[in-house]
Amino acid sequence: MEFKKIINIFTNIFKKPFDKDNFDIKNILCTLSIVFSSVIAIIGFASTTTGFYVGDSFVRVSLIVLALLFSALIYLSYIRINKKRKILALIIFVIFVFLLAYYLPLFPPQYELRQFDVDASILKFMITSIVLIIVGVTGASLSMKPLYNFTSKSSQMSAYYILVVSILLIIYPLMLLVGNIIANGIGGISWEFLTQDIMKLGTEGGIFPALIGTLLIMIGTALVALPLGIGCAIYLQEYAKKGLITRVISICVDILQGTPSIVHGLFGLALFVPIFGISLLSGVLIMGFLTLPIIIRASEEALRSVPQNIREGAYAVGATKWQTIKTVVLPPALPGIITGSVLGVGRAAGETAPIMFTAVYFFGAGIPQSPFDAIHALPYHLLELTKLIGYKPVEQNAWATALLLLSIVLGMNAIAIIVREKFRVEF
Amino acid sequence: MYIKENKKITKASVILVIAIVVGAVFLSGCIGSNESKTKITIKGSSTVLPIATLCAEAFMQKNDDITVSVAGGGSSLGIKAVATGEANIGDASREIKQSEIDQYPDVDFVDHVIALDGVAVIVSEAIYDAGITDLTLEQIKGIYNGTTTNWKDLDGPDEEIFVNEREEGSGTRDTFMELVDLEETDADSAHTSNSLVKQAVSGSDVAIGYVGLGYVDDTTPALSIDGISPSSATIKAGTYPISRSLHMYTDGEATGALKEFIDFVMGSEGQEIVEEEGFISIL
Amino acid sequence: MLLSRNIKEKLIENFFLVIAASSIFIILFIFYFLFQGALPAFQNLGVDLFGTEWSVSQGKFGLTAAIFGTLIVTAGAMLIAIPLGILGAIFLAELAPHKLRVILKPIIELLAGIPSIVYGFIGAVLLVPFLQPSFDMLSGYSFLAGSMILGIMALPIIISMSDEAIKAVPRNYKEASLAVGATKWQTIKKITIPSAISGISAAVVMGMGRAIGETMAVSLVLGNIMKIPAPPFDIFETTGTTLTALIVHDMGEATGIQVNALFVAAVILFIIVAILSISSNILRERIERKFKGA
Repeated sequence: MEFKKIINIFTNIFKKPFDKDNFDIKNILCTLSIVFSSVIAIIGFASTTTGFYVGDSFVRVSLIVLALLFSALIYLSYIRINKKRKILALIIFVIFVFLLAYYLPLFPPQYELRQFDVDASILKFMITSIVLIIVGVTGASLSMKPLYNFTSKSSQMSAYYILVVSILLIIYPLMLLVGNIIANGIGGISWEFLTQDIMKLGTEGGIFPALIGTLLIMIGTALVALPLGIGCAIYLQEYAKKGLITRVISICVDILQGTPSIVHGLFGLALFVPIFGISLLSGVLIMGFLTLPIIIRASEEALRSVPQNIREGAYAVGATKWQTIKTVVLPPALPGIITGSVLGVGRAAGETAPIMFTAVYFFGAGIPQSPFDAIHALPYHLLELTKLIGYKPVEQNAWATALLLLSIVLGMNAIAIIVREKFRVEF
Repeated sequence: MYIKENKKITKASVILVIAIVVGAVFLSGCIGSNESKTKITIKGSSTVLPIATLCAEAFMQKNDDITVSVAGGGSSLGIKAVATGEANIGDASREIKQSEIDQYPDVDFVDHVIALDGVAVIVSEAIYDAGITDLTLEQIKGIYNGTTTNWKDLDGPDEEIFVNEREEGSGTRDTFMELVDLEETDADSAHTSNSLVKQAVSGSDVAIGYVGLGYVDDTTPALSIDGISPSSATIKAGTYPISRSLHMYTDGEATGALKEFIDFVMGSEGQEIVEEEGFISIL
Repeated sequence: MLLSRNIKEKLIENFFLVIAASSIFIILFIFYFLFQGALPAFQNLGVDLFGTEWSVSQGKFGLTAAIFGTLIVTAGAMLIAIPLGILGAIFLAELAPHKLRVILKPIIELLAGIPSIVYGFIGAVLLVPFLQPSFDMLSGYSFLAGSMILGIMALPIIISMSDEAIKAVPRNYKEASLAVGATKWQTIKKITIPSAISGISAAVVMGMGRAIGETMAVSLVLGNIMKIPAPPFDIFETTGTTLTALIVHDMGEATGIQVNALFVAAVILFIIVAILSISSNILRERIERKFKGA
């Protein structure tokens, strides 16, 4: 769908009422209804998040107005439509709204659920807001029907409205998260923060050792996971015949990808810590295993996207399999492989559970002098700070650490995406 | 045209690889800059963890040539770490058990008590005002194991007792259970922190709960037990029954840097940190 | 010279084979060490491992409370993530104009990359303090908070994979439907979605796997008390934990048989997620076979 089409739809909704040739009061009412319902939904949503109650009178008035609008629509549609049955949904809706207009403000300020042994109450503002949201969205969606004269197109418009609402609902918490971290964290980021040692349980000072630790983990993970991962992908794509072995390896890679990070952590605790102790090395090995499937999958896809005739061209001039891979298949696959690697390393930077038991100390690990020393790391540091919230004044540092970590991980992801787009080789 | 794109890609990937290698070399330059320093490792109780960490930090600021690392893991792990040589100091929020001493016959466990901790039994303000200000250990045990269910059995109002406790694995809970001689409890609500217990007790008119000493105030007054009310003085004197000591164990008498650190913790500076963290100093 | 070239080629091929086989070895190693760690618990506790009581001081290690927690929290998360995820994917794949899609898709991918500890942090400082006054709970730490956080975390996976599945439906299916006069929405509802259902199922399965295996985010918003809430459906109570939160909470200080019991929890997780991964794999194979001819 193109932007133009969407804009057309929107302008149609608003233009229709004023279309001189086709002037129709129904269209005005529909548009009004859509807008009004949407506003009710938005107000309800704002009320949920801010805890602000809109007031009994507002609820009554807005719902009654909405019901009246809908009644008018029902009447207008009734006298024109042949299949009267289609108006049924609107009629039911209007009845509901009238009932709500009367009963909703009668809801007690607090309805104790504790009588049912449930540890909560339903607060008036919460239930009102939620009802308003549902009424608003349903109302707007239903209002599309009369606007398009109850054809299948009108069902489509109703559905589209719901889809738009869903995508907004999805984006909202995610924007909230990122927005909050940026707003609250930016104040804590400073040169001192990045270069000073961790002090006073993290309430003061900076996060330098954690930053270094995380960077070391990223590099170490790349060293472990890239050769193994790219090699595995090359084998699966270029050498192997589609048979049992490839299926088994593919399933193993899938299982590895789905394995919870805490299970990786326990595995590292059981295998590597007895050998290497709590150290950078143990952490890097486990993190490498965790990142492996990401790199394998990305490399596989990158290699797969190289068309077969390129390879055949090389065979035709006498190249061996390895020569072909080296000179003709790998280079165009490289952006995809790099994308996957950067994503994988970015993931490694953000994981906590695998390093919790294998690589970090609570305090005093400092800058490691060898791979056998313990380290600090940003995600683990953020964890410890979070546990201290409420007991110690760590908020500022916690937000700043979260912002730093998020920037590193999302930065890596962004680089990966840019690499993928910029160097996309089209065949 | 296709060959040109290939070259562009190869060039970009070469730059990327060089960037990684340079980065690695730069970082490794940071490593290995602090050579022969004396190292002290501390492992053990998570109750002692904040004390150990803050003391370590202050200590390291005064002593450039010593590094102290601190990890958690629990009292049992701390004692085991000191026994096997994994750590120089083992933190514990309890005394070492005979079974542990027997398990490591070659190890000479030296005990350093570095702080005291008390668990106060709090009740709702309404209950305290109704006259229940002192209970015996037996009566508290009766409340928590379900034998006493109504305040009127203790000369209080005719109301069911709302019993609050801490979650499994809490050091505070362990201390309480051990010193009140309880195996199992029949509590109404379990909470994961002192502040949540306090909230629950202050939010009710019929509640009882237990918290660390620092959480007592007028909204949740503390009971005296067998006549003794919980305070720094009574805990230091050992007269308040629900108290415990925090320990740092070493293998043999501490010498050199180790001795300096332990002296620091047990000295005025260390004890100032102990009090700041809400525990009771040994001085 | 031709002979040595062949030998060299064979060596290289075998070299890559060994590397590829390493992924099998890693899985086997994980299995081995997990079971090795869990075995003493099976031997000493047997069926008690699945009892309802968990008391370290008394040596009782019944995991049921944690299993229950994992199930409830995952169910709640899926209740949020499946409808929103599929609807979002439909929007992205069918409705969004190209320019909007180019902006939205990377946003969704970026959001899939947010580390779980960051979700946990936000959950602890924003979500939990929001829930407590909103529902008059004693404390905001609850299964409700857990489900909400996990739901948001599973969303990007479900959206991405469903979007790919919908986009993979061959054009001529859709065009044929439009040609006979169906509206776009009717096409989506009756042709596109049913064709993409395998891919969407694979997406849901992956999302479920993520929710079940998630550790840091969920452990920071739950009450972490190893008991089944009373009544069990009370998602507002602070009581409750999941298998993942249990391991992360206790492992630091556990000794002896408790450690083995925690390994049992890890084994359970591993098996569940392995089954889900294999199902997802099978579903994706099915799609490939289905659209091969188109």
